[in-house]
Amino acid sequence: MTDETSDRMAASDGVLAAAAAGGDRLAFDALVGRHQRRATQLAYRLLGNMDDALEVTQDSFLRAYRRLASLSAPEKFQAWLLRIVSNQALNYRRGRALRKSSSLDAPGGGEQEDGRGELNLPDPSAPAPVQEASAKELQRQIQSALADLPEKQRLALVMFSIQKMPQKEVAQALDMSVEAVKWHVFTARKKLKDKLKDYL
Amino acid sequence: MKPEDIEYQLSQLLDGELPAEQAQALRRQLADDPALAEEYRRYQALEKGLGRMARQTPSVDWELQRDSIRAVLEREALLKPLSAPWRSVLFRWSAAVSAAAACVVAGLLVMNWFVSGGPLRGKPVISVDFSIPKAHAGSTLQVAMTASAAPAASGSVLAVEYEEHSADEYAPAPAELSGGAWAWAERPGTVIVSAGGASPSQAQDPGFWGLDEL
Repeated sequence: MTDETSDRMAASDGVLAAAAAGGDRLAFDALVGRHQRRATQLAYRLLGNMDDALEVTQDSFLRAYRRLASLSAPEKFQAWLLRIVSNQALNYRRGRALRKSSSLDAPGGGEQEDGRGELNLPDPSAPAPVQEASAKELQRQIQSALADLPEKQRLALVMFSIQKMPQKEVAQALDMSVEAVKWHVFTARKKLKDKLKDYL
Repeated sequence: MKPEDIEYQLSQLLDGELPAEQAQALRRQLADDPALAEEYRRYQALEKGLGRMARQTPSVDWELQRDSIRAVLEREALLKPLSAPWRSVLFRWSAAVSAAAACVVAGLLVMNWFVSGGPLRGKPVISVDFSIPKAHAGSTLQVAMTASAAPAASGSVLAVEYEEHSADEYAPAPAELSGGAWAWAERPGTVIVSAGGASPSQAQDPGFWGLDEL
């Protein structure tokens, strides 16, 4: 690993984003490496289909690169990127009929939330096989119900409860207050709880 | 407290965000109210289900994704327009070269056209003596022209007056030249010379000249 590469890996988002805005494509590449997992997983949760999610994520990164000059606070790159991903995913949903989702029961799929592993690592809290089937059914139902939530509620819940993003980051990404995030998360939870009462 | 307020507190309790005192009070309430406890259990189950979904993301080749983004950016960089100063210099050069090339080509074409007689072979042809002053709004111009019968040698010199009008009141009035040629101003600042017809509409058009260019 060169010194230049390790410098980039150690640099903050703000430093990298500012360098990328000045035309440093390697700095942008470092930002892609740092945020691609969270961005892709967010797109996937919003679209329910990995092919679409990958397309949206790539478009979002390219859009971000072209508009870096308009980013007034480079240190908030992640929030800004996730906002682009959210908007792109929502536009994608509106603009095209989604291909049939095959994601939740895709064979061999699965990885940890941080995305470092390619294998389906065992969940320490994994239920027994019989419970496993009902757990998968619950997730299928949740994914379906998520699609019916209003956009802000869906985004807030996906980022907070699935992506495990801190409320402050969710608030920045959605350009709203932390209190608003809490309220949207609660409202979304309540709707899902009532809708999925037979599965909970 | 409204039911919705209690549910909001359940949501906060789930996230560990309820102040200690309120959390303790709510836990007491949960212990005393089985229906409320059941609601809380459902919230917990839902949250667990949501959390498990993060583990169900299909495998992605992250390096491939990164490579494809990198490739698009590199391709775009190759196609990226030059920076403004270079663009400006190149534009000026290309404009100058284009203008020079156009002049040469036009000159060759005109020369060839006059030498061969072109479509006006055997008919009166007009060439223009570029000896007129710059146009000024409202001024009367003297346009000196040379009439010739191609491919024969050029002949008499005649003068055409034309008055430049404002754009609003402009009305072209073709002036008949000797040898069946016509000259008129199509718009202020230009002179069109035609030849070889009984009227301006039938005449062949050797070209037009902006007075500013002459």
